[in-house]
Amino acid sequence: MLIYIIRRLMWAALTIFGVMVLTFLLFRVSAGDIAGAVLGEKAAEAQKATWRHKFGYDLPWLINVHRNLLIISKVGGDKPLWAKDTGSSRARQGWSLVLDAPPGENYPPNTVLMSGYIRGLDESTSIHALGSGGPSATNEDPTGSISFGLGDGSTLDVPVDGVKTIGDLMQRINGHAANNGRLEARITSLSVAGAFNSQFFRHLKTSLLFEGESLKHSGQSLKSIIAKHGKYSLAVQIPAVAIQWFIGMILALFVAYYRGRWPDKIGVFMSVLGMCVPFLAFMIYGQALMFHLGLPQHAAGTIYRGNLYVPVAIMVIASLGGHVRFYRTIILDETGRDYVRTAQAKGLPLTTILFKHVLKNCMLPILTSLILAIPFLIMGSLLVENFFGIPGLGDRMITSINDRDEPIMNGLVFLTAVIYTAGILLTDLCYAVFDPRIRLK
Amino acid sequence: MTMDAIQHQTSAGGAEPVAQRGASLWADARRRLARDRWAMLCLGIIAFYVLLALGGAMYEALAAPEGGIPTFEETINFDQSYRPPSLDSLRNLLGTDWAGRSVLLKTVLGAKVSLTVGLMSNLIAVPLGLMLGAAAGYFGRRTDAVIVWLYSTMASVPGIVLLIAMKYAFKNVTFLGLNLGGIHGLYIALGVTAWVGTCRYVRAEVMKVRELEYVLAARAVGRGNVMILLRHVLPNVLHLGIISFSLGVVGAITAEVTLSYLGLGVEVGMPSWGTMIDGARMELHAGRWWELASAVGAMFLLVLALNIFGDRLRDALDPRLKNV
Repeated sequence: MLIYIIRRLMWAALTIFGVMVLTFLLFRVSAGDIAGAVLGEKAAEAQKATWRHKFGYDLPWLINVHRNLLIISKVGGDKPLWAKDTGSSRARQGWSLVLDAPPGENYPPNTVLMSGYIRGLDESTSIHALGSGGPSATNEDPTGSISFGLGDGSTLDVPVDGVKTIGDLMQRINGHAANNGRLEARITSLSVAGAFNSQFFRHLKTSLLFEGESLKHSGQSLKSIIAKHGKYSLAVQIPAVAIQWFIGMILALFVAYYRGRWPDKIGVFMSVLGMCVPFLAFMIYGQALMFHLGLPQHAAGTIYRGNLYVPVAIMVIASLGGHVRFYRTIILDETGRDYVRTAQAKGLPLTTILFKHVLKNCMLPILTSLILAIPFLIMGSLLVENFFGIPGLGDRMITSINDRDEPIMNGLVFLTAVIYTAGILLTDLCYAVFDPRIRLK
Repeated sequence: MTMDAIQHQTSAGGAEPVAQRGASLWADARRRLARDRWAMLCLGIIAFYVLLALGGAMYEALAAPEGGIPTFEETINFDQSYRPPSLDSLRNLLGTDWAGRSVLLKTVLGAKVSLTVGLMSNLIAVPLGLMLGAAAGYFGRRTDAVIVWLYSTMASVPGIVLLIAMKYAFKNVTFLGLNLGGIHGLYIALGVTAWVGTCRYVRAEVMKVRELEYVLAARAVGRGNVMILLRHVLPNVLHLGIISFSLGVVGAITAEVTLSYLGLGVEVGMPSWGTMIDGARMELHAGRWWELASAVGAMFLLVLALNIFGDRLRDALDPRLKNV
């Protein structure tokens, strides 16, 4: 049993890892230009580069065996080191090379990063200033100068006319007449810990710790979003799932009781009809019905009680067909078994057989289907929440995907996957506890 | 009791026709289906939709801008907008939309989109599911573990989210000259997400099949694994692929409508049932019900026919699942 549990846990961990790889591929690698989506397509390339660096989207994908150029203030003082391109006109909005303080912990304090992460960067690597304007702007030779603000408040202007390579730039900074060792430019060295400072490992870390923060609405962390919007989803989903299960069970037992006779045939036919009506139609016509009944306040929003009743009713009605058919299948699967024939032979009434013996044996698959519905309970039905203006997690998911709000959409998808995997794990353990045959395998 | 007597008794007692001795699985299934009135009716409805879709495709092929037959975009006529359904002309049979275009034509073109999406996405998903499921079930061990890991991962992410995310990733992407932002991306996104069900189903069956005597016999005469898999195992689980295909089309059609409704399905301006529902949902309050009703009704009938036919097909091809 213990070995079984350990094996299941390892399998769950592997699945979670798989989900993280999948979300990484979907939301990061193939997401295109996130900086452009957040800042606007027409934002200057230099601005985008700064943004990417700030949020870590310029890091290497998998393993960080890349070097970059660091500028370190050696004078002490408590002011942060800053760098600004002063020489250029406004048309050239600056050096894309001049970036914010690096996020990695293994840099000395009072450091700025002057280049992107470049594999095999050395003194002969050529540098250029990115042009202003849109993504198509051409790269230009650096002109003017860069002004550095040091820790003690003093400044150092470094002319960069004619700088072609990293080595030239380091020479200009380190060999500047007024420098006197106050400012040091150097190329980073590689380290084992630094190798994991990549987008993938960062993605793993933020996913596992639910750390993300919204790119669009600054200050909204993933956790606060889940806490704030999750309750709306739960308020709609818990009654919906409970009522679906209850009504579905009763109807399924009813049609199974009349197996092969007309109530069964009508019931199954109605279930199939219900399954075939598009879910969108249930929502749209349900909302139209509210207008028709003179209750427009119940058609959308979260103010009135009807705003809860209408979506719940629609979800119950829309899913009833599938539920009845599924439960009927499970019940009929059981009624063919030997113990039912034995009970019949003993002369037990059919209701006792159905409700006492059969129902008990059907509980495991039915509970499984309920547990597997849990993630959708929390995520809500995306369409329902979006359509009825309920600010739940499903609605938030759609907005974050529309906004390319990578940390939020990744966090919400990951949350669903974790709960789903945990649900499967729980079901498997339940099976092992209640069904000794599985344990013995 | 002789074999004939048993056969006679069962065929007299139960409604299920009993296979004639010597009939292959396919011939038997065909016979069962041909006797099934519901299945034939649904097949007729599906054939009708296929004809509609072919007609729609033919119209699109024949219509040339500024030529004899106006293209769908050229039928815009704002004097004719929002005409309710009437029997006056074929054009106005199901009314007209906001731009005065025929809703009937729109619905027919939507049928073309739906059936193409159903076909193309399953042409990707079903072979993928068959191959992976057969490999996992036959080879077992590591191959099995990797494939099961792959599909459990895919199954842990809600399908609709996966589709939405993929369609976003495909935006402005061109692959082999195809614009993946539109319907081609839809084929691929649906294809690479929908194989999971087929794979599970096939894997479980292949695990049983590989233990059978004929596989042992094939191995005994020195057949290689790949040949056994391709020549002996796959043909015996191929019917599962057919079943998955027929039921997978329903899933693909529903997904296309949902995605197009969210604005992530077909290209902007391409008539599909999803874009029709999206465009017409606000018009219901103004009493203009026909466009929404046409799209919903057309989809309902097709999905119903496909669902019933798929169920009957499964009963005919997989006799062990009967009465379930």
